[in-house]
Amino acid sequence: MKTNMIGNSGIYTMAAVALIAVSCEKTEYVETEPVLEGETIIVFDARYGDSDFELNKAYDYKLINPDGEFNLQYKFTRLRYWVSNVKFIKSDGSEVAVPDSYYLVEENNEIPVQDGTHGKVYPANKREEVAVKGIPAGDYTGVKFSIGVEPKYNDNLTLRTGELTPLNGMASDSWMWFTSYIFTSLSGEMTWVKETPESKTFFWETGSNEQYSEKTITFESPITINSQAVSNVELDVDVQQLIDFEYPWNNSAIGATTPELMDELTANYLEKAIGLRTASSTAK
Amino acid sequence: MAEKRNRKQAWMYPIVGALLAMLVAQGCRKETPMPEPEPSGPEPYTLAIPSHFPPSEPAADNPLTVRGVELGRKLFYEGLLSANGNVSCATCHRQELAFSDGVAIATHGVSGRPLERHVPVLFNLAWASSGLFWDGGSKNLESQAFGPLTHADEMGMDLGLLETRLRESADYPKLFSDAFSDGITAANVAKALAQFQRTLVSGNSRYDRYTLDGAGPSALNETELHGLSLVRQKCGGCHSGELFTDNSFHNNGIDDDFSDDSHEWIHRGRYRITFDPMDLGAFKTPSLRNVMVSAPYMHDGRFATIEGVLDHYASGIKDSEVTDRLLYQRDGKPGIPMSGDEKEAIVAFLHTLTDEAFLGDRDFANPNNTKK
Repeated sequence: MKTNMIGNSGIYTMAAVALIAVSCEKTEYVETEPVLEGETIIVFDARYGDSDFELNKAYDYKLINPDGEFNLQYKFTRLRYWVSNVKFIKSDGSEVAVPDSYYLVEENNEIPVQDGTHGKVYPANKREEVAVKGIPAGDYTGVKFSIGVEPKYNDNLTLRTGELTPLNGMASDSWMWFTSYIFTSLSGEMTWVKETPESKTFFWETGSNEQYSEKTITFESPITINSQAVSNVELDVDVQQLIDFEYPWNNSAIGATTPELMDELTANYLEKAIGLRTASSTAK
Repeated sequence: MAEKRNRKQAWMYPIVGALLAMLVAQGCRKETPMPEPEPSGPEPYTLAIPSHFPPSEPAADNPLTVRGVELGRKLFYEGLLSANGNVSCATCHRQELAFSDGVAIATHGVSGRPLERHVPVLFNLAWASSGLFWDGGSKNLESQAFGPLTHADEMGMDLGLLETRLRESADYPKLFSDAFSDGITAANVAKALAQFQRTLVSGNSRYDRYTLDGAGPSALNETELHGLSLVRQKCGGCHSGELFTDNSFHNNGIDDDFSDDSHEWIHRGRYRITFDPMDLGAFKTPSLRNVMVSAPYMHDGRFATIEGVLDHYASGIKDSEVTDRLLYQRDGKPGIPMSGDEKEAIVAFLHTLTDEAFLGDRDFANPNNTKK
């Protein structure tokens, strides 16, 4: 009986080896297909009108509103926002969503953690490039992304995806009484230029599920994304458009208690400030 | 013998076939290894829900586990969670007071400065589906935890420092890795605390035993029964059902001026969350359970005694456009009429809602206390 059993398993083993050999040939054939998933770089290049955008530099702003004309000057200390749920659009209109695509775009001076109570700072940083990986090979006519955090994650600060974290000052501080990430944060100092100039700091933030919204960018011509191509998408982010409010001086704080102004600020990001500069791809 | 062997071989064919299929699959996907065998998941914690309670929706993203609850309990009593190392959740949430703190406005945070609102009780949170805090601004226990943890006048903690401290501690690295696959993170601190808090079920008062068993040693006396019927009739609009709260938000006529916009509108109640003008001054209905051990009352602790509360509802309701219509009589007059005897009966009944077993339950007590 023992001999028989060995004989049997011998047959089974041979059969297994034969099968593996056959099916592995098939796999190798599949592997010769050239198209594999690729990555692309999306650049969120901050500008101020026609100038480069820099922190701590004074920019003139001519405010015209029903009260008259005013000369303002803005100095920025912080521009941070979540870019999320990137989707690439195929020529047939279908969309390819990139999983876990959450990125923090930022240009900021040092930020004291929790108003400096711990003597800790969030370091000054400039990050405007986002490398989106794992995009299925293909030709794409455009890209969609959202500014902010989708309700699933925005309603529960303990859920993780991509770069999303409540630890970098884009969730905490004054917003903790109201569960939401800070979607966008723009702050600095504004000066009313007149005989006796006046200055005040401003904090313009958005958050809450109602502010979560999507931007669609359509390329001039399709770009190719795969493992054999280098591609990038360059976007302009015009800060001069972000600060386009009728009454900025009287609304130096925008946040959870000013939903209408948050609506305007969100629209400034999506409809005025962010736009396509160029999108291109070349073979590696 | 031969027959037996044949039968054995026939029995083996499908198994060998399956093994072959697995081998084939494995052999051909060299670049993607076989999925890890499913780990035998963490032991779930089964919430004991009193049979007369409504069903509770489990938190899908943070299921209760034995280890998670255990860790949350230890963290609840852990001073390391605060900037100065001395303030834990339990500093303001004392079990014997139904996890409240007995004062109108707490000053026992790390800064010593007074807080803006009264510390709420903690129990039956597995049913608190309309948000946490007096205005419901925090959407779940997980997110809520970051509020007191980081608030400068409560625990004043930096979440990065919190992770460092826990990593450097003797016990916590193992406790976290036992409870969560990704070990020590600020998010898991919040998840563990939420799990422990969901186990704080209070449903074993004399009233409950009476409801479940009827007559017997727990039977309510005539006055208490009268009080029960008065509470259902006069207070049940908000303090409804077996939880004795509708977990909703009402303006109960304690104020009629909501012009104070300080502290990000904290005095405006639910309005600051919904921006619905009818929510001005509306705050969450607290449960009547354990109410006799959780004085003072209201979102700012303004009433020191339950008698003060009843007097307010009987004759102190402020009439404004946003005062909840449940607080008006049929003829349009504000207030819920109550005679002296009725107030006494109500208070007698409220005493039967004190859940001594809950207030003394060792499973909810400080696990670091060695007293037996």
